[in-house]
Amino acid sequence: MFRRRRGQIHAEISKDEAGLLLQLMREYEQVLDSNAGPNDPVMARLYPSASLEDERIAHEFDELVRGDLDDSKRKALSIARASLGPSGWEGKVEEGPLNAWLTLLTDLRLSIGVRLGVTEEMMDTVPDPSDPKQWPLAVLHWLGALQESLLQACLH
Amino acid sequence: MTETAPVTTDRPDQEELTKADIPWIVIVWNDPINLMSYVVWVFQKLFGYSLDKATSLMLDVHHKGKAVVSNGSREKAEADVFRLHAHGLWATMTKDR
Repeated sequence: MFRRRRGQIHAEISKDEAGLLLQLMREYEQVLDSNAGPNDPVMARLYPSASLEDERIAHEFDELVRGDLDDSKRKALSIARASLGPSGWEGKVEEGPLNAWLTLLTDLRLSIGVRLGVTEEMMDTVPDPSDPKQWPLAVLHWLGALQESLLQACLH
Repeated sequence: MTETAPVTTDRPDQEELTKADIPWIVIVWNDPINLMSYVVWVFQKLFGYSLDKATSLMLDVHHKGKAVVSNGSREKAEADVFRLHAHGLWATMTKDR
């Protein structure tokens, strides 16, 4: 988790947590590399359409920013990944990694959540850790707690 | 959006967002995954909104399904939609009629 200590944001990520995060990052990178089209719900959510009613606007927007959006996702991934060592991460969180982690954790959660087809009701239920089918939902909740700890550390 | 902490706020103040002469509006749509606190952080960071205003907009997105978060020229709307997408929010732009 992350917390504020003496006016600074600190990361306390264990070796096991870092291992899970690196695995999730690899899976996320594979989604970015897959070049799956907009029919894939995860890609449609990571690279959303800019217009619901005008295909021309949506197409022009996609042409204009697709490359930049992809670059920004890969840059956040790369910065966040670089902060994790083999034994985890203990230390101060600088401004660059802070922004990268907030956006990357969002994209990791979106990727998992959309693949699971989660609803607000599902998000309100507490997953049963003894049921392997519920592990992805548990991971989603854990990533949410991690992100929330970083947001709270920003505020206080 | 997912609730992680209770939030209270004043009524939304969107008067400047609904003037008839503004050509494009940017809309953020609700999703069940993003954290409420994260959406507030994004609105503050991207648009410089106060905590109260950012929280009002987030609650509109959560309860009404969407909220108008900015407006202006087509170029400004495109830039804002891009920045919102880069932060994982689902945003669209439309001509304000």
